[in-house]
Amino acid sequence: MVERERISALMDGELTDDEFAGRIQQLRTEEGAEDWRTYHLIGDVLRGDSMFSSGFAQKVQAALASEPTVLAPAPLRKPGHAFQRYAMAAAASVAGIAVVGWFALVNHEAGKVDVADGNPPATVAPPVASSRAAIAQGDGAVGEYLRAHQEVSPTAELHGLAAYIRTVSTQDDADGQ
Amino acid sequence: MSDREIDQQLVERAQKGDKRAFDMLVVKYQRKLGRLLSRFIRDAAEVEDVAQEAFIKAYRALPSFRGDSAFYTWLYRIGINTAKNYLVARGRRAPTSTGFDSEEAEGFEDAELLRDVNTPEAELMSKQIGNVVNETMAELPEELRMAITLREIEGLSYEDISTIMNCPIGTVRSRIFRARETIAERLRPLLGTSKDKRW
Repeated sequence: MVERERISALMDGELTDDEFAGRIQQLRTEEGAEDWRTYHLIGDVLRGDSMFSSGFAQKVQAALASEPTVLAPAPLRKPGHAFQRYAMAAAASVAGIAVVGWFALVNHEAGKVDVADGNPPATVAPPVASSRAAIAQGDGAVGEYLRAHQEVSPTAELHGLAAYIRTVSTQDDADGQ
Repeated sequence: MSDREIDQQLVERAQKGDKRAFDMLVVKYQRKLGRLLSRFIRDAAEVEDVAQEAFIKAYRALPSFRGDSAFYTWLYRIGINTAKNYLVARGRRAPTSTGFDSEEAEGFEDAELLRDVNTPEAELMSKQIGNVVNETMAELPEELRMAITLREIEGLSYEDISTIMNCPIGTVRSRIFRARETIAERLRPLLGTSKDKRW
């Protein structure tokens, strides 16, 4: 009788969580299923709902029996999972920004130290100097021409190509004097 | 544990392969779905066919049910689509709009009531069940009759009923159960279930 009272409360959505454990299992028994059906029938009649043929539920059951059993491997989304998903996304974003910021800060600090020590960062010599040296080695008329126009030459300042330019040095007696 | 949570538990069990859990949902919602479908289809036998088809479609679609809405709201949409397809397939005009949204599906009560016209025997059975329920209700003690009326007809929660009847919630639960059980005892011989089953 206690079990039937629990089924009665279950169909009203009034069971406590503790009582709920095992009730669904109970409905799988023939007796539990029968009480579930009878109590629902009473409610339907009291509300004035006319009935399907008395064997309607059994007909549906028979039709379901010939259906392949469904299996849903994906877990159902529970309340609170959406919040967790957004929280994880936000945490990942903050972590990403922090990492980028940290790298930027470290590089910036490293540049400052080199300059402060009086040791300029090791960079490739400006192409202007090497081109000047090359021009100096050129013969007379062409050398004059190149020297006059090398300031406006687009090759004088190749942004982003410094890494690919090899620095050369020559012994230039003229410059040395 | 709310009604929706209970449905969710049954759905989860069905999704894990427990067909009996889905049967429980069929029992719970068959008449409610029938009442809905009777808005579109007047013939009771056809309503029953469409309801059965809707339940089968719902069962097949269970893996896609993720619990974002209440189970009945989801079943309601399947029922409406099944009814529309049924009418279109028979060259009848399908409603362009249901006239009410799915949220209302939980509560409407004014649908034309279904009549069981399948067989004279089934019709007789329905009448007998109705008579037994109504006669037993009339014989119930006042506090039991009021408790089950407030629950089944007015749809009040146990807490609201306890306020109205000025008694503890446990008493409400007990009264509603005793009312149901008294009626069920009278119905069981008619339904062909054992009178003496006891837990």
